[in-house]
Amino acid sequence: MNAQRVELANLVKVFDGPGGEKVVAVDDLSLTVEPGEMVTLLGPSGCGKTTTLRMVAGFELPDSGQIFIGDQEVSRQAPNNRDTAMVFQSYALFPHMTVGENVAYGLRFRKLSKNQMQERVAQVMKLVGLEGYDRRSPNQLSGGQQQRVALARALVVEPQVLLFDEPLSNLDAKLREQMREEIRRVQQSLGITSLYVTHDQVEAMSLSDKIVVMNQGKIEQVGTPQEIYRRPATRFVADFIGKVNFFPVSRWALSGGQMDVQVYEHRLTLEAPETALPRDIVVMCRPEAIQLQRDAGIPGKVRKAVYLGSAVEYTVEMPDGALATVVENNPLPGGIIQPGEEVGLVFDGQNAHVLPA
Amino acid sequence: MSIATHRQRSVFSKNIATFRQDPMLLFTLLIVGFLLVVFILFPLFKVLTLSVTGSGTFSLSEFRYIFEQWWLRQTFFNSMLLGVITATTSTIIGYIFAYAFARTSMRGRWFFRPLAMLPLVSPPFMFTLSVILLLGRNGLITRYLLGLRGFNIYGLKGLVLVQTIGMFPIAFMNLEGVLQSIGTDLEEAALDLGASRLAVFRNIVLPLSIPGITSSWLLIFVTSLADFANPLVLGGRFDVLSVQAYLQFTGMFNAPRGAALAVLLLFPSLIAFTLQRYLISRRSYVTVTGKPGHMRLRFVSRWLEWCLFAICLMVTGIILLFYLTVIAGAFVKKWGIDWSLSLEHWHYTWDVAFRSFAQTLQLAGIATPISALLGMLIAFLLVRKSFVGKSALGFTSMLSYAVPGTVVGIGYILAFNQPPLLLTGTGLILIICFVFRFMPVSVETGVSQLVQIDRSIEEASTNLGASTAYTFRSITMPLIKPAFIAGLSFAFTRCMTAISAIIFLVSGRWHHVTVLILSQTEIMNLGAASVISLVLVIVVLTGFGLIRLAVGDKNRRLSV
Repeated sequence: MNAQRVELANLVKVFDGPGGEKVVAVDDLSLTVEPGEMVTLLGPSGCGKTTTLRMVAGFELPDSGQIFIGDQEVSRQAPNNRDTAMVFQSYALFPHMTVGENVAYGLRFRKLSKNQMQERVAQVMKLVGLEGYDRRSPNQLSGGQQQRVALARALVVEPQVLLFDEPLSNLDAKLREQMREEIRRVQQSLGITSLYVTHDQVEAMSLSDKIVVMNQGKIEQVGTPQEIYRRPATRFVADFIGKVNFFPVSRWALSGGQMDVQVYEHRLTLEAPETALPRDIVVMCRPEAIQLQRDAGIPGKVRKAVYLGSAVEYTVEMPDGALATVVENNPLPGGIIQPGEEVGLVFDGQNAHVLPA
Repeated sequence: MSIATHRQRSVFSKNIATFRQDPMLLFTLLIVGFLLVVFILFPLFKVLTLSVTGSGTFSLSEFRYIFEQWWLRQTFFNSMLLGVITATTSTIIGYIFAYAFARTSMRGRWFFRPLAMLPLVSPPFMFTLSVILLLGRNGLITRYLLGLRGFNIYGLKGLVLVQTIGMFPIAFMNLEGVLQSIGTDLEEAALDLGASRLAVFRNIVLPLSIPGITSSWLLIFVTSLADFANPLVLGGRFDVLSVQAYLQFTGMFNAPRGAALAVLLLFPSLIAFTLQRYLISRRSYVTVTGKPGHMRLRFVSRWLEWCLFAICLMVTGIILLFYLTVIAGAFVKKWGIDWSLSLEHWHYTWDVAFRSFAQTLQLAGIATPISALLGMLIAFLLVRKSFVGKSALGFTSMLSYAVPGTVVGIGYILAFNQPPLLLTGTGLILIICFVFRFMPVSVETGVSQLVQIDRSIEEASTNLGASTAYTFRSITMPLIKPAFIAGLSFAFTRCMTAISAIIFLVSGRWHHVTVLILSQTEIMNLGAASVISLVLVIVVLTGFGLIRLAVGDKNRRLSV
C-alpha cells in the first residue's frame, strides 16, 4: 500500500454560533502526519479535533489554509473525490444492506471486476476476523462486530489516509481495549497513514505514534506518548493527561544544563528545559512518582487515604494548605498511612519537570 | 354484549393475580373494552350483517347485483382509480417537500411550511369550492380569463387536484420525519467511500425511505377512499363508493345496497391500513444507526435546490390562490355576474349559520377533551400495563383510522336506532361518534410519547405510596402533555370539519356547520359557502390557541 504524507497548513474553520456569533473551531492549525504514521488528535470536547478530521475527509471546507495528501492539494475537493476513508463514531453502517454489501460498497466506485471485488472483500473480512458474516444484517451483530464491519468497509478501498472519529466510544471498557489493539495491529500491518480522534487519553497513549493535544482550536503539544506524559509542554497538557501535582516555585536559577528550584523551602535539582522559561514557574510531578517517607522531603499531613486494591491514593495537605495527590502502588497490608499523620514527600529530579505557571 | 364481556372475564381469570393487586386496572379495562366494542365494533358488525341479509336470509345477492350493474361496478373501480392516482401524486409532492426541508438549505421555509400545513385544518371541501370558483362553469380563470366555454373541471381531474392539494401534507409530515431519522452520517460514509451525490441518493436515501413512502401512500389511499364531500360536489359523472353508498342509503332508501357499497369501501381501506401498520411496526431499523446531527454538507446541487424551490413555490402558490379565492368569494356580490364587493353573504350567513356554528362548537367542545383523555388512557394501558387481549385493544382503538366515515355513519344509524340504545336524532350520538372516530391520533401520539418516558419514574411514584390512578393523574399526564395537546388539537379540528359520518347523524334538532356548507354549495350559493368555510378555518385556528392556553404549553418539560 502506498503510504502518503498528510499535511495540514494554517487551517482555520469558523462556525456560526447559536446566537449568531462566530465560533472559531480550528484556529491556524498546522500539522504533518508522516507516511504510515498513526497520529491521534486528543482533547476535550469542543477543542476542534473532530472538525479538523472532518476537514481532512472533506465534510467541512476550511475557511482558510490548505490540506495536502501526498503532493496533491485536496482542500477544496469533494469527499467522494478524496482518497480517504473514515470509521465513524456511530459506525454509520447502511442498515438496509448486508455486512458483505456494506464492506463492498466503496468498491462500486472503483473500476474493479466482480472477482477482484469479491477477493478484496474476503481479504479484508479475514483481516478483521469477520469471515462468514457476509450475509448477516448489521442489526444482528454486536457492537464490537459492527465496529469491525465499519473498519473493514474503510480498509477495503485501500485509502491513502484512514480516519477514525472516536470509533470506540460506543463500546464497553473490555471490548474497547480489545478493539484498540485490533485497530493498531491492522493499521501497523498495512502501514496506512492514519488520523485518529479521541478524548480518551488511555486510548491515545496506547494507539499512537504521535499524539497531538488540542485545546480551543489550537495545538498545545505534539509528541510521542512518552513525551506527552513525562514532559508536557503546558499545564493544560499535564492536567489533561492523567493526574498531576503542581508545586509552587519560590525561587529558581539555571546552572549549566541543570536548574535549582526551591519548593516549600526545599531545594531540588532538575534537568533544565530546552525552551526559555518565564519568571513564574511550577514543578509538575505525577502522583505515582512521589514516595511518602516519615522524616525526609517536603512536609505534609495526610488528609485522606483511599484503598483501591492495586494502589492507595493519598490526599496530602501541603504547608500552604494546597492538596497534593500521591499514589503508592502495591500497598502492603498494615503499611497504609492513616489520615492525620505527618509525612514527607520525596521525589526524584528525573520524575519532575518545570512548566510555566 | 354480555357474551363478549363474559368471555373476556374468563380469559382474565388467568392473570387474576395482577387484577387482585390492582383492581382499578380490571375495572378500567372492562369499561374501556365495553365502550370500544359497543361504539366501534358493533356498528361495523351491523353494516356487515345488513349487507349480506338484506333480503331476509343470508345471501350475497347485493354484491352480485352491484358487480352486474355497469354503473355500480364502475363506482368501485372509480374509487380505486382515484385513490391510486391521488396517493401517488400526493406522495411524490410530499416527498419533494420533505426532502427539500430535511436535506437542503432551501430558503423560504417560513413561508412554505405554514402554507403546506394549512390544508390539514381546512374544512373538507374548501378547495373544491375554490376550484369551482376558479375553474368551474363560471370560473374566473376558465370563463373570464381564458374565455373557455366548454371546459369541465368536474370529474377525475378536478378530484385529483383537490385531493392532492388537501392530502399531500400527510405525506410531507410523515416523510420529513422519516428523512430526519436517516442519519446524515450514512450519507457522509457513502460519499467518503467515493459515491457521487446521485449514487448516495439512489443507494442510501431512497431505499431507506421506501417504507415511509409506502406507508404514506397507503395512508393517503385510505384517506382518498374515505373522502366524501369532494366527490359529492366535484365528482360530476365520476361516481365513487362513498357518495353512492350515501345516495343509496339516504336518497334511495335502499339500506342493504348502501351497506353493501359501504362494505366494498371498508375492505380495501382495512387492507391498506393493516399493511401500513405492519410497515410502521417494521420501520424501526431505519433509526438503528446514525445521529441526526446538523446538516452541514450539501447533498444536492444548487441547480436541484432551485428545482425543489420552484416546486414548493408552485404548490404553496396554489394553496394560497385557493385561499384567496375563497376570501374573494366571500366578499364578491355575485361571482361571475356582479363582481362588486359586498357584505351580503355575511349578513345571510349570520342568519342561516349562527345556530349551526353554536351547536357545532358545543358538540366539539364536549367531544374533544373526552376523546383526547380516553386516547391517553388507552395509550397508558397499552404501554404500561400487561393484560390479556392487549393487542386486540390496540387494534380496535386504531380501527377508526381505517374505517371510512360513510361506513361509520351507516353503522351508527343501524346500530343506534332502537332501544336500549336509541340515540339517533340526539346530540349524544354526534358526540359519541366524534369521540371514537378521532381518538386514534391521541392513542398513537400518547403511545409514542410514553415509550420514551422511563418506566421507573412511575414506579417511583407507586413506590412512594401512590395508587395507579393517582400516578396516572399526577405523574404520567403532565409528562405526556405534548401528546395530549396534539390529541386535543387533532380531535378539535376533525370535530369541526368532519362531514362523511356526520351527514348521516345530523337532525332537525342538532346540526353541523359542514353539512350547511355542503347544502349551500349544492344550491350554488357559493358566496355563503365561502363565508362559512373561512369562519370555520378561523375558529379552528383560534381553537388551537385556546387549547394551548388552557392546557398550558409554557412550562415545557426537559428531557422527556
